Amino acid sequence: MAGLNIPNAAALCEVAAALYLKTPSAELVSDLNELFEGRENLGADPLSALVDEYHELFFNPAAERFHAPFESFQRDGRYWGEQAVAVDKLYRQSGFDPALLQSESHWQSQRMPDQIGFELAFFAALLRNAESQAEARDDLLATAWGFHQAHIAPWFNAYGVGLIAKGRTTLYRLLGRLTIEVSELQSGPAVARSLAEL
Amino acid sequence: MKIKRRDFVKGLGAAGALSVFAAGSAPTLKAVANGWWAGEKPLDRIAGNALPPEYSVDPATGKVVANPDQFVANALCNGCTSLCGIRARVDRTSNRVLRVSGNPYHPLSASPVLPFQASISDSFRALSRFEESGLARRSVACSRGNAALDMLADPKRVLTPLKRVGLRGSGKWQPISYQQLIEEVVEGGNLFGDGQVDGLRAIRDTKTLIDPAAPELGPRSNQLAMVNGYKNGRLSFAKRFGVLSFGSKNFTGHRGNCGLSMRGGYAALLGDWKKYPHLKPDYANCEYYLSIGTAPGNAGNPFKRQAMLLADARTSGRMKYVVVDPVLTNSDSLAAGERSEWLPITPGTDGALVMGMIRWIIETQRYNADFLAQPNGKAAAAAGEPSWSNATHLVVTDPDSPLDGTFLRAAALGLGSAESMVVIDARSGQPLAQEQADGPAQLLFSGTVTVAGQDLRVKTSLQVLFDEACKLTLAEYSAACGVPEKTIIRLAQEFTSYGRRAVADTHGGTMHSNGFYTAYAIVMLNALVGNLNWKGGMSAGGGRFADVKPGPRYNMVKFPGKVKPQGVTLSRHDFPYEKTSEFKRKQATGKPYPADGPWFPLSAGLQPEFLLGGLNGYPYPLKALIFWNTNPVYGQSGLAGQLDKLRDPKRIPLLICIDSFMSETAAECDYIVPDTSLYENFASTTPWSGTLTKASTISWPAVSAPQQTTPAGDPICMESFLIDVAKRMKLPGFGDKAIPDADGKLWPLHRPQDWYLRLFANIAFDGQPVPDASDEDLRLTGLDRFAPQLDAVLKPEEQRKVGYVMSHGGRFEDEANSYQGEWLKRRYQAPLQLYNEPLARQRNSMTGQRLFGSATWLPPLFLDGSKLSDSYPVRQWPFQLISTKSQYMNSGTITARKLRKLRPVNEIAMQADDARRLGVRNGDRIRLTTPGGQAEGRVAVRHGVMPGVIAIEHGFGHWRYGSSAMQIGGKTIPADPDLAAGLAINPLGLSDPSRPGISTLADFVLGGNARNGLPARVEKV
Repeated sequence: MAGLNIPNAAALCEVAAALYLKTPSAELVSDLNELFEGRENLGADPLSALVDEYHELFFNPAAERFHAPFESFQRDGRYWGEQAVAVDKLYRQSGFDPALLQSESHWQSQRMPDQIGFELAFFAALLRNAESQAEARDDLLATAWGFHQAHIAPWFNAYGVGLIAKGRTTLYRLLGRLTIEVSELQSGPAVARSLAEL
Repeated sequence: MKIKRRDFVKGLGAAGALSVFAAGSAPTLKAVANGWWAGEKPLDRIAGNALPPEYSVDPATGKVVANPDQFVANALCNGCTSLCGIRARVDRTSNRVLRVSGNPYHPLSASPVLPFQASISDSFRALSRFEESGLARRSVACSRGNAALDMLADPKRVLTPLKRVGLRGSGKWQPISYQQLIEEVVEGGNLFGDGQVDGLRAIRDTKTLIDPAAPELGPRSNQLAMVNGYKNGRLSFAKRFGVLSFGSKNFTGHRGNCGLSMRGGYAALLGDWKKYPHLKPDYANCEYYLSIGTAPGNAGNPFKRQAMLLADARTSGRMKYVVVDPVLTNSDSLAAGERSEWLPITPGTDGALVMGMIRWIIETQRYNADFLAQPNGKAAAAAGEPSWSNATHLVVTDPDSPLDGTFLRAAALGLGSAESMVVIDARSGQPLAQEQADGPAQLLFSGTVTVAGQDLRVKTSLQVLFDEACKLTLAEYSAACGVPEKTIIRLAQEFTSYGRRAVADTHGGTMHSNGFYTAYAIVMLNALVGNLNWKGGMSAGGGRFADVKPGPRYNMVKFPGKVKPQGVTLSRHDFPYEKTSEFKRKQATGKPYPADGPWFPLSAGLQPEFLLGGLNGYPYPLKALIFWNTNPVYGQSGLAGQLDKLRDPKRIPLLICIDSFMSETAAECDYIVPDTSLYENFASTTPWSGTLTKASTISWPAVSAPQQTTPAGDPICMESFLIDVAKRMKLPGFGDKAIPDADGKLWPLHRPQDWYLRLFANIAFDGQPVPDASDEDLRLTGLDRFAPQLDAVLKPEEQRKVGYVMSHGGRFEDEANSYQGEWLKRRYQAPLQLYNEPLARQRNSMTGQRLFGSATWLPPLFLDGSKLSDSYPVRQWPFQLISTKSQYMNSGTITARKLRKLRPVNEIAMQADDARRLGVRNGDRIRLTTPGGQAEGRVAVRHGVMPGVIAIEHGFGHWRYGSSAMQIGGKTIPADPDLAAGLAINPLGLSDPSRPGISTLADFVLGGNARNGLPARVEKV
């Protein structure tokens, strides 16, 4: 992962994680606007439309535009598949507990470990730890890179494309793009280049 | 995307809405060094790190090659109360159950089942790709069954006998030897430093009366009570000790805290208050399934089979089902389209809905007259009916007559015998002895007959039911239950549109104080469409092969010195108050009512009242109580708030709990005896009634239990403990001469296998004996290890037949015997009771009021007949709490780590409009206050809840099991907060201020624990 701009990659993942794990609120929209400083058109979708879309895309399996935010569903067509078990094991081994994240209580109680927001948060946390633990930096980056290769690269791109297609609000189409960008962090030597563009 | 890097980083606030980490900083993580990125390679390039298979089958030749390191035990799962037959893969070296799947011979796990004649290697072949049969023959276990395996190796298991140190409930324990346990329990003494405690030897006196002034109470041996759990296949052994050998009347299962209302409703309909039979739908063929107070596949046994058949039915589209429930469960699914429906209802008012339906069905004559009009079995057979009812029998409905509420007997009119009822002949319009009728009788009749010169008003049973249903209008029923009038009509219309293939069933959702009459009304719907014993209708089940009941090889319930217990149970459940000395004494004063406590003469398995009777010392003091396989401190609504009473040794001086874990009940006892867990013990049981053919499920120790052993080498468990207590006391039925064979020769009972292997021999030899097990059958199922036991206990001709039954996990009749044309082959014989005379003969012991003899609608009541809603008006208590069945947890599985992983905390569901009104958002903490207690939890806001209802998933909110710290032998075991996650509903339960003494709210007819519909207030915290 040499050349990776770790703080930026972590920040990108953390923002995307927050958008997947939290129901839109006025504060969240306001923080996003501040973050992008007008460089990204977030549209004028009313908050109620954002909330409805959040539920429709990520919560309601009966909704026409439901886009299941789980790795094993997207890759194997089932919930709690092998990927869920595998990431759960990684979380435990590294000391990561999704229950301690700030997220919608539904995700907390359901606690499917391969929810995309949890995976993003885990990846972000590994990167941040690599920054803060100099002596373990290489091992943590190796873990992060392994996780990216095994659990992000194989499905984030397609998922982001799907989200852009299904999203009606600017916010969730933007989230689709952010998701694709996270998946592209894997592209080896291009990592540094893609991050430089951030 | 064109965002400048510096902007992006700068914009992430420490704890803003865009952060997901607490306080904005990521948790400290460790690198994972054993991934593929660190050079780790899987065990197998294709199978990865998957477990090596237990066997392999050549897909071309079908040759089976077993893995010598494993065996496959067909056994019984006790992960819930469904009693599924499973197959456990066991590692021979590590003594571990590796995985669990379904027993392919077992009707609750496979459909179609594998023929019982198939050998074990045939079963392996059938589950493989050989001839592509594996998918069709697959047999499954549910995820709970697999996750429950964690309990076997749980570090918090009780492995040695424990004795309390200090006060009861203080959480301090001292490990003691098995010998000390047996000695102290039997001999008593100053066991805890605060005075003499009678041991079991002193208590067992089968001659001396407890109270000479009240001889009906029976002898002093009744001062031991055994309070047990559900029928997990071991209950008969405990009963042998407590009832037949010790001689106590006080022995119960858990029904009174579980589904007693349902069982009572069926007992009334089926006319059997002793055996309490119940019905279940012929799931595979019913076309309309009305589920009230239960939810197929989500609640009500057997979960797995119901779920499988429900999934199949809604896929094939041949069945519609309606789930009436205050909360939307997983039973209903949008995927099923119009084939499934959720009908929300106000808790405790299902009876109003159903009585409205009954009114409409009778009014519009949508009932099955062909069935109901048959006055006896002979007429029914002639009419092509496989069952009959008392719908046409005349009931005296004359309050001025002493016969009021009873059936009119033919002898009273000089028409026939004193046993025969009277009907109005359909052809002549004249009264006729029911036993003499050869054709249909009038169904609806209200008139007068002359008996001994006096006019008596009479009605047919159906007329009594109809008149009762007509006491309220449909609009009034609708107002009571919250279901629109037109929906009541539509439901009744639908239910009566599927002929005999419409069924109505219920279960624990009716555990309200009006539960019995609610359940009687619900199951009455089956009588109105005449579906009993019909394909696609209701079944009383296929029964079981002889095991405990006198069998072909051994008589397990008869032995020299066997005691016939005498007297009245502590729960007052099998004896009318009117026959007591107390009644006579009070009657002499002119005021026989109320009794000093409630009596429930038609009840059975009334667990809650055993505890209350013991705590109140009514009708007599209790000296010792043994709990086994049950946790009423957690499971009995309203009890947990009164633990100070249970902790007072003066009320019940000796409390013993046999349990694998430090349950809420175990933690309040004086001694804890370790017990075996699933797959570690012997068992023999049978599926619930929805299985149409004869089936016996058995289990045997597939793995060794981890706890200390007895001097004989058996794990300390319920059976070994009771055997050693009995032997020390020299009780009959244990020791050298205990079990008679068919020739009368007595065989010993020193160890658990002495009992169970002989019981298995009865199963093997019942009717046509089963084949002999082959060496291969025994080896593949790990029974080769059992050869010395089989040899030591059984006669030579029994050994391989018992081996066959053990290797197959039981004995199962051919499924082809399910039907006989359009009838079920195994049919319930007695008539259905639209009017139940024994019910009508009973009185409420607190008010003296006679009980009504048919189905009726009453709101939830206290025992004195006053309405709950009068004491707890809606304006002060605007919510009602109900418990909902968890798909993951039950009351005793919180220690299963995988289950906690799947469901770490329970759902406390509130309806979205209610939440909006209270300003509560999903995930907020709320405080629930009932008249019985207060608790806090995190709310889930849902649309799928009846307004005004809070639905609490059962199985969480534990305060023991290791969720609080305990001291064992001076060593402190710290609390594990994961085990305390969530909120338990039962500590919020009610007592009944209308009855004297310590109480929990009870059904006023049967005494079942009223654990639903708790009045509550809700605040955001």
